[in-house]
Amino acid sequence: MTNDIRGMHFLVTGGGGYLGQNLVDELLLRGSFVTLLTSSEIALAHHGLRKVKWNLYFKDHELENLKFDNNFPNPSALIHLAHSWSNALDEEGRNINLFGTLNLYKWAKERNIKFIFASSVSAREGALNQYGKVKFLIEKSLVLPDTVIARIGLIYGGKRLSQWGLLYKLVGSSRMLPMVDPWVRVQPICVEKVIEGLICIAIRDRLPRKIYTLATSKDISFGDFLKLISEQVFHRPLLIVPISSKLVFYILNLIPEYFVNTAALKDRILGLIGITKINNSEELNELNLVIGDIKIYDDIELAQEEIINEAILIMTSITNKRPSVSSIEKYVLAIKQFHKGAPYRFPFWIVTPFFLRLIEPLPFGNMKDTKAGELLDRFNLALGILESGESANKVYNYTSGNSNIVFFIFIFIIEAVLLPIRWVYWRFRQ
Amino acid sequence: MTYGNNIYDFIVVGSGPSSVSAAWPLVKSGKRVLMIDAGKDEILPNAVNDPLSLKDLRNGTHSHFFQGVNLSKLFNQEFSSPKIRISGENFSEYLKLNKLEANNFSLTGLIGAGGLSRIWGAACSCYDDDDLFESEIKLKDLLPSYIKIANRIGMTGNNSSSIAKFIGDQLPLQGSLELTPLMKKLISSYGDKSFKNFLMGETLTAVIGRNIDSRGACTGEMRCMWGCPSEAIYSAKQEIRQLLSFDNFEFRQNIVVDDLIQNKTGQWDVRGIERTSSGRKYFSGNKILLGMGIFGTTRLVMEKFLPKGKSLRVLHNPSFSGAMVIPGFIGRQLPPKGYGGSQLCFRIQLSGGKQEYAFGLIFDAASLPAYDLMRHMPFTRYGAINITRALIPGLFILMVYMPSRLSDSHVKLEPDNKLKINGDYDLNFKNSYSESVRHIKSAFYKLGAYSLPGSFKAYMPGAEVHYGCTLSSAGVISKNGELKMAKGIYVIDGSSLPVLTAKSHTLTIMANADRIACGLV
Repeated sequence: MTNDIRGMHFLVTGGGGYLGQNLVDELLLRGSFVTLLTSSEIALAHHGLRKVKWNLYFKDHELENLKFDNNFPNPSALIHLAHSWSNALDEEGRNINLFGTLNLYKWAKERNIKFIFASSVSAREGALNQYGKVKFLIEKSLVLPDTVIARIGLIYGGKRLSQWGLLYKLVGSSRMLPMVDPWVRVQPICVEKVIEGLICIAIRDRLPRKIYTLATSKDISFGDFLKLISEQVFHRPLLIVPISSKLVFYILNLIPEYFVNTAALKDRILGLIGITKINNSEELNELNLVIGDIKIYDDIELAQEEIINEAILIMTSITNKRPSVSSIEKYVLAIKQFHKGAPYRFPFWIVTPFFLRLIEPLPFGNMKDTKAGELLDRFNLALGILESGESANKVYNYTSGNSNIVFFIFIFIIEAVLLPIRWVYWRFRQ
Repeated sequence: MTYGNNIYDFIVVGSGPSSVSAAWPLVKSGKRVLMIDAGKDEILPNAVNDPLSLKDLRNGTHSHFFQGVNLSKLFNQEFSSPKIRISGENFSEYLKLNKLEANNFSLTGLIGAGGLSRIWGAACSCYDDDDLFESEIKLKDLLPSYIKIANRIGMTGNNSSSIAKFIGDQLPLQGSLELTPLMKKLISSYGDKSFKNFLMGETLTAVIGRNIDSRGACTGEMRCMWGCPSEAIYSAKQEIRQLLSFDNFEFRQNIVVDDLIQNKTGQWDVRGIERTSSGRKYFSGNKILLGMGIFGTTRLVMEKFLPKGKSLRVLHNPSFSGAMVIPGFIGRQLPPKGYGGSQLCFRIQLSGGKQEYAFGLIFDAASLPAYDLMRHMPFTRYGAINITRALIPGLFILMVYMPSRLSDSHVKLEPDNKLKINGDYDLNFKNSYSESVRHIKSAFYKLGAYSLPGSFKAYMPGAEVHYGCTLSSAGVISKNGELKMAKGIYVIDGSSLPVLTAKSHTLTIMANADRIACGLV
């Protein structure tokens, strides 16, 4: 059951972030209007979308001058997702997240706009991390009526950004992951359910609570969660190597702050290990929010983006020049038809076509259902597309009588060097 | 239920080269002939609206021609010949409709008018008395049919080349196809030197040198592998069009024959399913000629007439391919015109008797897709493109067929009436293979060609599409092609071939079908 929000108008801060992008897309999809309060460059590609310049540093008089589109109906709620990771202080030395939020809160309440504050499950009195402390401080300051706080758990799914993007990349890059305290229990929630919860909170009047926890009521260890991602998205097992958080802190403390900003990293680790289980099943019932088992899926449109990148990478490595749009289109079509539309998971260090040449599989032996065979298949598809397409003139020599023998020998030498590297790489991988 | 309201003199099941060859003498003698086929394709001539040469097509703007609609031609990359890739989607259909299951055996069959001849490489050869040594059928039985077929389908070659005596030099030919520079070089080197146990010469091809009916003579566009625009290469489909001009010939498509029953009057009922309506169809004929393709025919005969659980041997020619290069041609320009199929062929004698020889076809790489060469190179694709570009003008590919006694494959009818084909090689295969490779490399070395390292590869059983003799070697077929246990049923395709030699066997299958049909008139 989804809530009907057609024709409603929502103000959203932090619309450029991971949750924000997913939320705004969904709101627009369901036919509501959205005004983004943002300072970043966001292209408006929807008739129901407007933006107003705003950031956490805005003072009362600047807020007074905010101009909204008169064609939009009165806002139903302000969903405040924005958070500054810098935890910077304003001119008066106050934490920007706290005071930026309070300024906005005051502005909204003066206009009788319902205020939804996106907090975190780590918001607690004695939170270990700065993030949790700040969120808790803000929660405490939001005392006026018609205010709801959503404490959100570990979000997964949707656009691969932010923390979810990081986890996705990490798990995708390797079959083995070192991880700080993987036994910590987390309560993950998929992004759709978070959005559904936020919408529900935003449109329902007279909710019995002020704070709702948007998280799976069943907890799972962080390590097991990563393993689930690996199994469900990448179809392979994952080995987690536990590392003690104490050891990590010892090492991080040795690194001078001057070189690397270790504070943010420390804060994230503290956030993870400081998590405590929250029993929220009643809260979810009140919102009619049913959260099933963890099911991580691959967004097809996102996969297409990856296949396009893959096409460019592979085809550039074959011809040494960027492929034409029609070749890329054909490659995407081929992957959809012959490989179920799944992008190939390259090791994380394949950043340029040259690196790809180091791991081109050798066409020998039984390669059926192996990773090498799959990559080789894709190379051959790309080759088949290029051979009769744009690179045909490069492959067939109908015009020049003599080819450059020096270049020919040069290629041979390069290939002789690459051959053992490629052989060893796949030997080692299988 | 629809009953065929007439009784045919002959019902030919299948529309491949053997069926067409058997139909000709029957139709010409005025008998009522019905040909039944499972395909649903058009049998109209190729529309020659793109008479472009391979060189023109390769300029980069005709990619759809090579890749097919929705990239279908890139789908099954295991098939090395683009000719096979073109109709790749039909193979699984043949397996499904004929209830076949292959295990370690690459099975090729085509549903549709013309059958396998549509992807035939058009290389021909005649059996001689040495080949037919163990058979009760001799060259004198087949020779009139060979000559008749050569006249009918039109063939080119060179009856005075060194290998002509071996592949047949008594056929009427329409001249010879012009050789590409690389092939000319090979044949002239061969003429300059003397060889022991190595014969080489122009391939006998089912390609016409002058116009016949709607078919145009070979113009050397080099597109043979992708389908000849003027239909100079033979396909049985072309002959069905000619047969249709006779009133006493009928052609029914879309019917999958699955049952043969003798009725009270002694005639045979051919029963099948119409694929469009899924309804049963019945046709009655005095005599039935089975040409459904080797495994299709074998399965039906095994299900209907042979004791259950019987296992039959299927002969095939273990084969391998290799790439050779003449260094002097590296970096030269590719020939813009020529014949794109096999221009030359050779024979090497193996130890162990007169019939022990391997037969090879030589293909100029200029007419092959570079893709298939690059795919097998151990280089990166970038390197492979550059190396191939330089290499192709001097490169030729050998496709070598070994004696069929080196095969050890069997077919068995499963309880659910599926035919299971288990492919394997004989224990002697390894030795004969390395003996052949050694022999070939040294012979070609003498001709100035070197083998590319690692390019010699043996195929999976059946991948060469040279198989047959399932029923003849089981001894269930009499000399006139009739099934011993079912009078009136004749087997005309490769499953009744008297013997399977390493030579190209399609012409002999056709000649055998013609011989059987002539005996019925």
